Amino acid sequence: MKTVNLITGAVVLVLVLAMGYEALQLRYYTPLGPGPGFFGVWLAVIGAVLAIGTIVAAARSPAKPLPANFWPESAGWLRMGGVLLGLALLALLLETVGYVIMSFLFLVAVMFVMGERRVFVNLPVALAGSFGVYYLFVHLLQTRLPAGIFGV
Amino acid sequence: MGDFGFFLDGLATAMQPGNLVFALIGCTLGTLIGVLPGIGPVAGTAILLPIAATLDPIPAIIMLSAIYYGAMYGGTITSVLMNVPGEAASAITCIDGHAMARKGRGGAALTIAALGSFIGGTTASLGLVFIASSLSQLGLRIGPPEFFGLIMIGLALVVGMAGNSLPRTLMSAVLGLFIGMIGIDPVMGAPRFTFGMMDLLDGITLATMAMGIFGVSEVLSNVERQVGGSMVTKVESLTITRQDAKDSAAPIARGTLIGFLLGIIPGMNAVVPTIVSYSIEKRISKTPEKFGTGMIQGVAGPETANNAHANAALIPLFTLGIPGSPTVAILMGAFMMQGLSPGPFLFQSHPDIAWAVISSLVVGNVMLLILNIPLVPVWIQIMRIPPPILMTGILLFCVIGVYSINNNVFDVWMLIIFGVVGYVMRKIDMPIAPMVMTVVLGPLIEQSLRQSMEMSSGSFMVFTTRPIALVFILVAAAILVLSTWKMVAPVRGADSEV
Repeated sequence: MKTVNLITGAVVLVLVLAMGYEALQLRYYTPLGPGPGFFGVWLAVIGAVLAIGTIVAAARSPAKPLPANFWPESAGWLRMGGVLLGLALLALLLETVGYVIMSFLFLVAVMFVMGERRVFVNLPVALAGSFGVYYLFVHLLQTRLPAGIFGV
Repeated sequence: MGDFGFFLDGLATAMQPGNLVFALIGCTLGTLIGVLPGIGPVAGTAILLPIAATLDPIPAIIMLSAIYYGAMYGGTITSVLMNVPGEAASAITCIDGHAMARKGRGGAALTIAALGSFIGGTTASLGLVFIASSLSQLGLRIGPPEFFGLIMIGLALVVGMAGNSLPRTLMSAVLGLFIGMIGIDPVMGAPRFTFGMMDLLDGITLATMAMGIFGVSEVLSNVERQVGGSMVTKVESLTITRQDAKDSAAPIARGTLIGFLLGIIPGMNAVVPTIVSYSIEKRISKTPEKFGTGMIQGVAGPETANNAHANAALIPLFTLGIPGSPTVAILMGAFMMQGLSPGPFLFQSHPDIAWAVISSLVVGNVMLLILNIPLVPVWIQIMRIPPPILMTGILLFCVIGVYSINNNVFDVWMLIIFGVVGYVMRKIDMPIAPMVMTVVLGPLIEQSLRQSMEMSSGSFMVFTTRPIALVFILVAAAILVLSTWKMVAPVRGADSEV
């Protein structure tokens, strides 16, 4: 976990320094008290101290192997990648293509990636999740879901 | 005739068949609204406002009130069963509630949540009847300095939740505080940490973050291993055991007090009582290290505080005419649509309506218990759905939920990002709960501090010259010092890996 802790500290350090820099561009103090940048500056200081402490402690600690199941197997990486790709495509095309079509494709694809490959299960669930949910949210609950260029 | 006599009259009105039907409709709709991620009590109450306008005043407001506290329970169901908070105030329940469900004890979690919600909600409603006037005076004495002190107690308790790694807990809390600052500065109106992106001007909603960091990351953690079987190893009895009841009694009592006292403070966020309750339960537990693994106290306390707050938040509305939360503001709108002005004069001009609505809160809480306890076996069947279908459904509901908040696909991207962040945090053993909690507490602390300073023309003495504020701050400092000492002292001289 030594490397993991080193990377964690480094990433947090970069993040808090970036936020601290942004905070310095804001007004730090006003005649009536702290300004918009006050909290950001001090949070960046506290965060940097914690991150540097983490890095130093990790550097001084003995190297130990990662737990056996820390990294997923290749099939696990593929499943996670498939899920994230599905979500990204859904976000990208939701408003253009429309909720019904995109949710149907999302459900079919992601269930397939996760291992549900039986067509007689996959398709009805996808239909219920797309058309059924659209009807529930749009017509019954009066909530807007994107219709897209196809009008559904 | 005293207040109790008016209450009994109101109870007789609330128990009329027509009004009971509307209370039942409200409780059912409220539970459903709470279950659906993204459709919170605010949206649900607002959606049904036009329908309520067509009804007579008493049934209209009875129904809308029932939706309000019904949604608080509904959000618990998805928190426990799917690790997706149905509404923001149920986010804390995800921590131990879902852990209980994975051990096959989801039924017990839902049952104790229902019982705790009933006790907390009913107690708060009775408090409204008998001691509303005195409590509203106390609520009026809570200004920005006192508010700051209260929230500092909440922050100190979050720090006190650190398990084995104080630095990781603090880093998680700091990151949460930064995330809470994204958007428009609450006092001066300047954009902060938006990096030029218009979509970040509204900040990052807690619902989006919570659904990503709990729901999406849970799915990612599940799919990295082989997906198959059931999400629980076995489903045990759906009823609670004697030990469950014994373990839950004190947390429910504390949760009732916490939710009730915080509910009477106008402007107190509904999430704060759940954070305070969870933090206290973990703090005083003899086995704090077990929190997060399925401790029933981690469900009983927050869920009770949640419903107690929801009912107590109506006290400022009825006694002062001040809506304490967005949902209560919608309820106030319902009053005004009916030609009524909530506040002290309502009791003089329309005592029959005021007391009927107040009495219906007690009836509604009973109804919610009767409605939901038998439905626990129905809800628990959700856990038997094959994981690929259940998890894909969870993802889709999360997307719909966050999209429907602002009709903005940017929120969906935030959902994905926080899902990845949550997955990574689980991997590197960085606690998630502090980040979620400080996203809520951070803006409240900053706003109250800066408002206090403006009140005193820039002098920090405002916190020492107001006794209530001073007491709160000293309590927060004591909690922080004790918590830090307890964590640091045992590892002195021992090698510790960060």
